[in-house]
Amino acid sequence: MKDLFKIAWRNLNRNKVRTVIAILAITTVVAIVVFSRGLILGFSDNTYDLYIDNNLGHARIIQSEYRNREALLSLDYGIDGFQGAGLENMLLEIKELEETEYIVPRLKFGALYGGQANEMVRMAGFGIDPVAEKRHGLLLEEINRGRMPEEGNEILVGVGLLDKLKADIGDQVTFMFTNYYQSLQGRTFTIVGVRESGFSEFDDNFFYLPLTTVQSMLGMEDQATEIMVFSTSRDRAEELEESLAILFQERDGTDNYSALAWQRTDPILELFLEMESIFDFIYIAIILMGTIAVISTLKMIIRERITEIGMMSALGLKPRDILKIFTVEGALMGIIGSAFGVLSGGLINLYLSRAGLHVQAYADTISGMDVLVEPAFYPVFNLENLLVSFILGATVVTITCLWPARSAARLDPVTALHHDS
Amino acid sequence: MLVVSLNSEKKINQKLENSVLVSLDSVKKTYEDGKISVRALRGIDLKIAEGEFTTVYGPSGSGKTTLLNLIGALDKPSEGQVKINGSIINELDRNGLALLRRDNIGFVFQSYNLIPVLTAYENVEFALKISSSNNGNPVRNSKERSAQILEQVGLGDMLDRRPNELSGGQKQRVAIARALVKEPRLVLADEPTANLDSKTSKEVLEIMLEMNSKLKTTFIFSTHDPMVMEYAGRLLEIRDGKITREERR
Repeated sequence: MKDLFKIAWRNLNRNKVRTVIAILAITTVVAIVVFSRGLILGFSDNTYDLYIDNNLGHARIIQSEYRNREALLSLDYGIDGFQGAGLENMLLEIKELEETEYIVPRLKFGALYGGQANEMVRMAGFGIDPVAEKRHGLLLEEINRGRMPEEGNEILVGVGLLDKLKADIGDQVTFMFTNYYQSLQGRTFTIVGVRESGFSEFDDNFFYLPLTTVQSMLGMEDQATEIMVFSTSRDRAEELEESLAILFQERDGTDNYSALAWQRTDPILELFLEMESIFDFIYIAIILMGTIAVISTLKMIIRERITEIGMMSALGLKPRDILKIFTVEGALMGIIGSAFGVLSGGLINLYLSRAGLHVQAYADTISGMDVLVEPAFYPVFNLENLLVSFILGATVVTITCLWPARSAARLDPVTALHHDS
Repeated sequence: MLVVSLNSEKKINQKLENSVLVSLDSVKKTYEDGKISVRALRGIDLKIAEGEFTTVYGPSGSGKTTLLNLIGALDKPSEGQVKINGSIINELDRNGLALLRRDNIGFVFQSYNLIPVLTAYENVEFALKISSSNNGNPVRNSKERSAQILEQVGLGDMLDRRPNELSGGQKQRVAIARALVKEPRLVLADEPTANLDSKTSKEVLEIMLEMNSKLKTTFIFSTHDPMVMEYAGRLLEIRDGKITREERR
């Protein structure tokens, strides 16, 4: 085998230009695969993280019926603990689960602000636990001015909402809302911080205030509308979901509450996950296009070396050995091409993972849509992508090389020896 | 030159029976090319004993190369039987034929057919390693043996040259060394001097003759070259697919 490898390796030098062209074709397609995979992985990873951090956690607990009424900001489906024993007790029990890292409870409600010139601003308020939110970190990171609301009537507002309210930090604003008992109420809050997330849905519509304040003003003591439960990583979401389901069954005995892993919570995420598997076939198709160059090169090589193949056969090389020589020759082109492809694609991804790929038309389209995706692309640069792309490139090329190599192995030695090249 | 008499032919035939290496029995070979069929061999009966130095000659298209292809286990007959060192090639598949060639036969071609990316030494060693790798028994001292045989054909100082750095005669010497390194029972040489000048041809033939006497290797040539015929111990003339004349010396 060592000698067959040596012959195959040296054969690459026999027509350098042709070898370089074949290798370049593989380099190009593998670089495209590395970049595309990095782009898709980066896009989906960012999207998953955005949804997880903002809305879903690794698993999201709600009242089973709340899912259908969430858009209406209904208060009828609060989480009031197992058998109505209160949110705090329920949180303590969830914290005890091995898969649980931390918990972020929220109470979501609708509110109105009557501005000047009869202008009505509709908003969504979130009752938040300042300690839990600090542990989670997202809000804290995105506060561009002021601080987190800690107690009483302090609120944090989105930067776009601040504009709509025509207010600033330190100002007082009065919002109207209906409480759990459908009674219209009004309350004055002091703005203590401004959040800038970069997403218009959050920045233009959302404000945040202490959970205890919201529970008290809505008449929903010791309740929340949703609980985001986080594990050590998003890969453990399904384990977490299972443990929560067992806990609910044991402690509540009803299907009152549902805990869904993040990937099952939003149809758009399910779509992205579906697409990831479809893309695997597209990557293979891209590499197959590059193998056309290697296959044609091998076909040419075999035609040129027919007499040589006949001679090797006369020496006693079995068809299997001749197959090996040409497969190894093709595989070497595949391996070298894939290595260069991984290197060049990797460098592109490394640069773009920091600088981002900004496509204005895409950013404009996204800004008008109700989806949580970054307005720029940040391809992932990681070893897994490089390794998978390399293995994919080298393997697909090697397998496809079996076809021309087989034709060489099947040559009749007499015909081959007397071939007039 | 001597045309054998009836008595001596009987004696030779008896001796042949005892040490027959190649045996062809009523061998016919027909090539089909679309609707046309070409009868390349029309009934050959032949026995070649070990250690013979035989030359097959005849005009182009007479069937010399076809005969050598069959004796070299590169092809199978359409009719009749070819037996090489006890193996009936009609019964072997492609792998079986490859093994038979590997273990018993060396080839020397008109156009040398060396592997251009290997040096003279590597070409010879490669042939040796093929036999060892396929039968699972590594050849001992393959390096020494390869270098030694190249030394014997007068290329001791050109081991590291690639074929494109060698003259025609030197290439043919490498090809001879490659054919002989695994010490085959039989060496087939298809017009080995066709591309060489007369001086080089003579040198190459001397080498093969020397190997024949030293190693007792059986040589079968096909040729047009009268010089090659002069060296032969046995001459076979072939015309229209039949052996038409046989001489022993």
